[in-house]
Amino acid sequence: MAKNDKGTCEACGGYKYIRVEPRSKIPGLIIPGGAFVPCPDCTYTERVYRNIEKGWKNLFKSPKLETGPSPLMDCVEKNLWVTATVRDFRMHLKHVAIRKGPSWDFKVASDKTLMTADFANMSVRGIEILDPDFEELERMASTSLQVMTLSDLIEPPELLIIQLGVKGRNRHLPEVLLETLSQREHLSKKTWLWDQPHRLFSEDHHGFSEEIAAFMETWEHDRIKIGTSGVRVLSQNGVFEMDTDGDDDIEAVFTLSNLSGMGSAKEVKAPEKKPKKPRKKKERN
Amino acid sequence: MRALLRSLFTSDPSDSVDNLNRNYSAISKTDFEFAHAEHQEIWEFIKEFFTAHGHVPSLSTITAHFKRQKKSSVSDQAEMIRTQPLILRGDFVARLNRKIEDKKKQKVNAVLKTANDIAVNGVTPEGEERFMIGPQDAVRYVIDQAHEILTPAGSVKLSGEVHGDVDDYLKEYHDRKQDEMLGLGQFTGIEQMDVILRGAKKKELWTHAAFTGHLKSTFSLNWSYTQSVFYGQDVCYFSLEMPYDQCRRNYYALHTLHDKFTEIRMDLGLQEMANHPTCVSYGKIRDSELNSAEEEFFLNYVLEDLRNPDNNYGKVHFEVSDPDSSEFTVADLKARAEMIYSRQPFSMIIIDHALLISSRNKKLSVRTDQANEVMRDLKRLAMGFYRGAGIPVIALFQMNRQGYKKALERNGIYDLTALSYSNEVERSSDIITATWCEGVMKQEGRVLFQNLKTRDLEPFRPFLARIEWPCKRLLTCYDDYEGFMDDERRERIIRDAEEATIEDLNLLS
Repeated sequence: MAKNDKGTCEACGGYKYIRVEPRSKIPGLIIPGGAFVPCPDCTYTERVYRNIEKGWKNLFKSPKLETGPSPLMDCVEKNLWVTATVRDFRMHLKHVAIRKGPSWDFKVASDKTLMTADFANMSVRGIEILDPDFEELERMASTSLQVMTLSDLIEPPELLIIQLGVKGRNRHLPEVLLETLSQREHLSKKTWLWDQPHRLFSEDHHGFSEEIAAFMETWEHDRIKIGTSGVRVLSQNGVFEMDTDGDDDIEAVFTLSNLSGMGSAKEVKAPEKKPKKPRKKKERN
Repeated sequence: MRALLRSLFTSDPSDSVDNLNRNYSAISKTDFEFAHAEHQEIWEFIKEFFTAHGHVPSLSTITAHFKRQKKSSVSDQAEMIRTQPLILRGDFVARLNRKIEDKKKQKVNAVLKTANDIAVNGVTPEGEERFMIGPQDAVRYVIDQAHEILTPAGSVKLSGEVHGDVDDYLKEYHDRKQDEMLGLGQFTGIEQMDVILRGAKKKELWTHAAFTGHLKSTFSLNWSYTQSVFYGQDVCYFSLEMPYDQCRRNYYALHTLHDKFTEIRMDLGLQEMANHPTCVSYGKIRDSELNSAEEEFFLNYVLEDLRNPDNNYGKVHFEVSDPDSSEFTVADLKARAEMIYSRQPFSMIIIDHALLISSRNKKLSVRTDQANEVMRDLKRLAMGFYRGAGIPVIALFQMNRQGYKKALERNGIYDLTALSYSNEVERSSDIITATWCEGVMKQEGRVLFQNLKTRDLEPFRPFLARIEWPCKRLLTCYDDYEGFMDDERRERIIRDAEEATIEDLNLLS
């Protein structure tokens, strides 16, 4: 930030706002006092920091992405299934968030957070919850201002990023994930599913179910892997592309389509349908 | 009559065409006719001219037209009328209403006289095809004629048959197309909101809700200030929470930020840069603690400007509840508002706030039922004000604590369940907006506006406006830099952000 003689921002003189021309040209509309933008020179970093921390705590502390532009930048208006380590994903997400600016409405929620929200909701309705994290969950459900219901968590953000693999085994997890994805789709809002190379979202994943597999068959989304050797875009809008580098540290890539043999993606068939069990009100693990 | 006609064309370069166009809009909604034949000819020409050009003609255009038509008596009349005083906005509407009222009195006399003739002797009244005789025909005749008399001054239909009313609608459609201001309501002055909602319109109930301290009154005061000072419109403001002197002080403080005082503020050393307006603190005004420069500015410029009639600012009537009465119902409010309106028509009613209005039904013991009844009555007030003429009603409303807590988790975004006590609010209101101002937002002087309901429009997306805290003036603010930053500056700012550490940010804070 360039400073003037008085030690304040050269662009705004310490006023923190810059006056700009009003944008609308409706006949007869007056904008009293004109229009303003927060001074980008002296407020951008702070505002973008606050927004990033709102989306995912401590993301701002993540190191800078040194390897150039992130492919995630092109996916903010799309659904995405991304595979990356926590470190890599944080670097890429920070890179995107800084460029998207202080008003970018994104939220990172782990599958554990989604479950907590769902439990909180059940607890409010008086349903007994049995879960390894029961005590903590009960405390949050009855007193927390952090999460009230699942819809409070998943509906507002324009982009919801779901971090998979945080929650331990729980039979309800696939249901909650499917509800989240379906609700987001219903609201026409974009969602990123983020799994890790060592815990891919496949049939042996805690959150996986045949219903999710069926949902994702029709869910229009991009597929990206971020590895130590670079980034591979495996599909765009459901169309798989050839993997040209052929060398990646991520061995197995799960796809739900029948596009096996394309690139290094290999197909894992959805498991056989099992007869559905009636849902019980009580959660047991 | 002459003054009305004089106020429908420009004669002097200082005449405000916008105000004269507004006069035209007001009179064109009625079927007003001038008694004098030559005046009526001038009025017919003004209507033709406005339809063709979208604004009122000048005196020279009128006289030239009638001279070309060799109607020197009409052009002479126009020249004579120019000496009449110009009346604008509320004064024009009030004068017009009085004239229409006079005509209605004459009409009532004529109808009753004809009814008497029908009852006693029998006649074929003008406009009727059959001979009418006897008391039953007389009463029927009075009832038929009553509709025209009961119709409000603005020629607002109270009833009608839609198939037969196509011509009437076509007139309305073409008038609206011709006059781009006609379909617009009372703008708030906040761009993002006005662009989508196009202001509060007649017969609409606009509920603005917020939690305690989240700028409900500030928003409504800003709105009335915008309407008065920037649009020249009169406003009727019912303050059931704040005393009159507090409202007045707040209002005066808002004016201290007006751009017209930029040079004066700079000369007095109150402002450094022309593009960074400053204001006088409300607290200092309240406590009479202004320094000498501020005092000179406030007393000699701001207050003098507000009382200068040449500025053509609209009038803002603040009304507080009757101190001798413990209850103030919507019926009381309507009676008082209509009384003021008959003297000085205004363009909107603001009520601060709706939960302080008592319900008229004393048997209702549940707070929710009372609030529901008040909201229904407020919608009726908007629809039926001044015998069906209608008016925009802005009702402030309180958000409940549970809704506040929920919004706290959703970054300040409310849903309709947060409205205290009343489920009628969401049914009766045509528009529901809300504000949120908490934590960092408050520190940064930002206010989150959101739209919980619109009846026939897509709601606006939540956005942050700006508040200049010392005087509590709300201003339009954008949060993206689209069109304001070149690539080089953008790259530099992003680079700075990427390289910033938490320690740097602490310094910035």
